[in-house]
Amino acid sequence: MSNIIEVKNLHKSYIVDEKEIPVLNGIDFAIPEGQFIAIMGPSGSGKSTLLYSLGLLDRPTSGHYFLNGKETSKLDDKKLAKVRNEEIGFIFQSFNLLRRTSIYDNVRVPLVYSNVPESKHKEMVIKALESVGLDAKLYKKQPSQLSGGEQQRVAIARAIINNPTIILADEPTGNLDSKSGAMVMKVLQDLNKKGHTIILVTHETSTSEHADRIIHLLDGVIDSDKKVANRRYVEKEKYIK
Amino acid sequence: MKITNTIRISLAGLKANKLRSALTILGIVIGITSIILVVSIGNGAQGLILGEIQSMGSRTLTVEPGKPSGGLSDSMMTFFQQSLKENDLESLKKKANVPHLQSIIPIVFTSDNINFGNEVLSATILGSSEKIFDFYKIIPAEGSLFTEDDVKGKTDNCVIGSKIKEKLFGNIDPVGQKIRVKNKTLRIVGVLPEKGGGFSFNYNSAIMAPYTTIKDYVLSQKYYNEFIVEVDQDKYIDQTVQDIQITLRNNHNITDPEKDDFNVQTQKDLMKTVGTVTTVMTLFLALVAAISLLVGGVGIMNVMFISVTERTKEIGLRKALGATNSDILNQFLFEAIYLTLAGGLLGILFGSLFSYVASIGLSQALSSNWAFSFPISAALMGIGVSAFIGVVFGIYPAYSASKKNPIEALRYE
Repeated sequence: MSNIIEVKNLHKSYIVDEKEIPVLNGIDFAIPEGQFIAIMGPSGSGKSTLLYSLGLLDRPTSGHYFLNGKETSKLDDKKLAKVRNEEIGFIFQSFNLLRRTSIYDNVRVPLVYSNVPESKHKEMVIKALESVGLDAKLYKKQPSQLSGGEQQRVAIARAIINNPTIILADEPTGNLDSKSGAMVMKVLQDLNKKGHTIILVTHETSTSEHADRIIHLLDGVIDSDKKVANRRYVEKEKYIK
Repeated sequence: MKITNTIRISLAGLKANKLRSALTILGIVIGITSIILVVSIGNGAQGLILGEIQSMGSRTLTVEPGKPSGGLSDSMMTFFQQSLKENDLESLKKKANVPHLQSIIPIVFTSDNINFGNEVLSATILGSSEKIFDFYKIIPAEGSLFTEDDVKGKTDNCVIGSKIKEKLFGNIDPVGQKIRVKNKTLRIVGVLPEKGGGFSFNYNSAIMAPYTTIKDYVLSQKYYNEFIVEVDQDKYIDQTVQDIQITLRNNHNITDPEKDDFNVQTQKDLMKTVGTVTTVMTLFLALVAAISLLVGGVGIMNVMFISVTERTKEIGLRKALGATNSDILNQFLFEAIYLTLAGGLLGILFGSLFSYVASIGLSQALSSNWAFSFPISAALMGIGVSAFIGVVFGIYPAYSASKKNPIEALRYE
């Protein structure tokens, strides 16, 4: 299987009050297509910075990042936005749904920035909602009318609507109760089965065990990179209505 | 991103904050409303004044004391100039001097109290020849008018305006009654018809008497305040102006036209002057009104900054999901432009409505035909200016939104 992501000697530092604060200090790894990876580490270890760098929201200070074999550091802002739109789906801890905006308009945000004709939007939104186990009829509702678990699944529907190869999830279960969290993990595992590469940042060991590989960061370097011996699977009938 | 999507997203952004959007555009609405109102009323006033000037006939000239100049202080000074004398009137009447002069109406006037019994009323007292009635096309409402014989004989016959009749006499028939002006007693022979308001001489609050009587017995002055001259044919207007100037310069021993102590105005001059004055006044008032546009623009900028800050997370999210910097810039810029355009359109609507109501009110108040004209140029300018304000005051907040770092924006609480 080819590597969808390859990172070589990645460094990232921030300038705070004229002082350089290093966050990532030389990261090397490769992710084959279709893998489910959990990135773990204590606060300040650089896991979110790594995730956002992989998501092309931030440029590394030095090093190389190949996405689908292409070096990304040479892409301009416009091209980066296009790659984010077409190849990457983001899921956030706090869902980040637009308030006072219907589920339909929330889910299709990525379509708005793509070349997909508007006539196809509804069909795609319904398909995305159904693939995360939500009733398509919800599309007229507002985010505030849904439970936290439902909101996160709407956010996942939004992340996958453009059928991205990679899904990046930043603590997706962090704001959810265990039942809703399990539901979200089930959805992510299902998406992984369909071929999406998933990179998940979490500090919960139980959550990370749903992945098939765990990268552990400490002080901006990889502390360990292991395959999960006994991967956990969420049983469908247990949580999904 | 397609422009239609930008338009939709921006509109959705505004709809989410309806009250704030409405309050924000208030400044623009008021600004455009005032500009439309001012320009519309200014145009109406100009039309009315110019219409009245035209109705006096293009062959009319006026000769006034004082040097020819456009300045306000100069025109105020003409009241105190005593340069138009009896011999000037006689010289101008001579065919040898001004061959195309058809008629000349000498005018003296003042403003003073008139007394009837114990009643006192302030009025305009105008002395002229009987020809003034033809000039203003006056037919008496009651009684008769004074005649050429009255002028020659310096009689005490006078006519009064409708307002004088109403205020001084009430239900009493004024014809035949005597009134006192200064130390002179005048006898009322007729009442003038009610004149629709306007900007030429409004005789509703005036008494008119032979100029000979007023000049010699009431004012005891040796000069005239104005001559109204009628030229026999249009083509001789310019020549007549020159003839009058030469005659008066001869009489006044003036060799340098720069030192003229009188000025001759044609209707064309008058219309040009009035046109310039009303246009300048209108522009000035519109400019004052435009200040509120500036204030409105600053208000919009302020609200756009608040909106950008409030929606920092949304900006981060949109960027994460594929929005480019220019997508974000356009989204917020369009919001600002919608706000100002909506304000502009509402302003045009209200401005037109108010000026229409004002034209009806002014028509009734002045009993004249005040024409409502929709100021298309001001409306188009209003739309242009409001969109421009949207761009000017929206671009900086929109730019700051587009430049937000997506990660920081996503973490913004």
